[in-house]
Amino acid sequence: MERVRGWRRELARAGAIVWKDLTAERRTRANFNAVVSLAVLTLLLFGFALGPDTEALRAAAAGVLWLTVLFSGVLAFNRSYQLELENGALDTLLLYPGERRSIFLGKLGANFAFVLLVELVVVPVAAVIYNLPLLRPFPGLAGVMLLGTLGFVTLGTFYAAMASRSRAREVLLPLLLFPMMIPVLVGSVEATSALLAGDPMGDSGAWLRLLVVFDLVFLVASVLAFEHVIEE
Amino acid sequence: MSDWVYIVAGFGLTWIVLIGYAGYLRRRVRRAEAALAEVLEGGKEAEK
Amino acid sequence: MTISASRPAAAQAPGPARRIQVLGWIAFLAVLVAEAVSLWTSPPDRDMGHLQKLMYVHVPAAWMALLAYGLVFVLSLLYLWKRDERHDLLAAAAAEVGVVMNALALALGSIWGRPTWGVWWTWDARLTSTAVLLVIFLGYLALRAFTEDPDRRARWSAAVGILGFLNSYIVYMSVRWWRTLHQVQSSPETLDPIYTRGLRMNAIAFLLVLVYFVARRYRAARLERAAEARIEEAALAGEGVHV
Repeated sequence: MERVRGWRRELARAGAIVWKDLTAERRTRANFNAVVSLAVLTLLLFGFALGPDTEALRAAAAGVLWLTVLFSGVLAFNRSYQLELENGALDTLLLYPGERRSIFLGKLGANFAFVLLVELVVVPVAAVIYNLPLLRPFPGLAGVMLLGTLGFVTLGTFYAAMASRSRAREVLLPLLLFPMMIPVLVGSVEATSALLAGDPMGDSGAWLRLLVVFDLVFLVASVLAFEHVIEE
Repeated sequence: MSDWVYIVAGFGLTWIVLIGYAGYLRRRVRRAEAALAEVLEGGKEAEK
Repeated sequence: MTISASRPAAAQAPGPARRIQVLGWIAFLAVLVAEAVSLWTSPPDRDMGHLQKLMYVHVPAAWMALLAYGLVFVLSLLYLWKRDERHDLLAAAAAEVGVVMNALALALGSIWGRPTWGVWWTWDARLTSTAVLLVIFLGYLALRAFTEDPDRRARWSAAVGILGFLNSYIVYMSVRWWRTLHQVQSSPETLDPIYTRGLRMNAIAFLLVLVYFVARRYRAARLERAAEARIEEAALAGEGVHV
């Protein structure tokens, strides 16, 4: 009973942080707009780099889409701590009673929502300019987007807690994060392109399982490790 | 015959890396020893 | 006077340095002997001919890299548990040596791959996941280089080391599935006993080199930390005097 109440209190704290961050984001909105613009620009640039052959573009689309998500998402993570650091709010957050992991879960939730919103724009745009069928594979595709993004955002939020407070954070975060993302990238891209092709071999299920395993392992590991990372 | 070019290159590279890194460690330990000795000297000067 | 009482142990103890040096000579001699014997005794392979000999350096280097990373993982866990600075410094030493071995193994794999497969690089599961490990631990070293506060550096790099090692298996599995889906045969795994013996000899020699490198690198780290701590102490003491 006591434990249940503790959990509920933690979740409430995490929810409050999600709400606070998203409200701040909604008020200024400039950051979100900039990230989305950059993501769309990236899609266009890949299109130019890979040539005008429609069939070749469609074959490469899943990879392009996920790289675009990775490169635009990474811009959001450092920022979520940077705002706290600039006005010293992180120290205040740390002073509040309760488990540190609710801070992590809160940041994670806010980043997750942010990247999903970016994807909500990026995926339809990619579908238009790369000529992809979206409606037919929709439920599976949504699952891949959710699972892949969760893995990405979990480690992104975790590494940004360190990178944002170090020198050279711009280069350090992708340097730490991207190599760790390779299973997510491989799994998401393979599942996405299988689904876009109508999944004739039924491959997407295996990749979805890989994503689930990755998400679980690193969700647990980073929640456990976060207390050591954040303590001062 | 050209196989041997690759074999010699492989073994040669191994030795270059092993000896090179050993040399780097040697210099690094030397430098650290010198730096520590200097700091300790400085400490004694200050105590006088 | 109180300062010298609290001085770290590394500062006044150059004791094991000699022993490490001796170990170094033994290790390098062992590599020389193991290479000579295995080159001499192993007949050319049926498929690869003399190129098989590259296995004696490539495979031990890769094994030592993995071993060093495993050490980083264990020491990182130990550090977060016990908070003993020595575990952190030893983990950093193992990570750096692991990166050296890893880079060597990759370069050798490339040199080996060119005449056997006809390409310098192939997206083989093991080769690729080794490359990913190299980048992960380069990130580990970069994080250490960019973080000044020793306590922070220790905690953060421990977390990165643990997560990085956890990922190595997932990376390997994901790349393997990726390859099998794209229908590329990976290399067969059978090995003649004569080659196994040579490989084992070289692996033991490389293990000695690994221990020597880690010990030496650890000693450097201890000395550097001792000097750093001493400067901090002096600064604090100096403040006390002036105020």
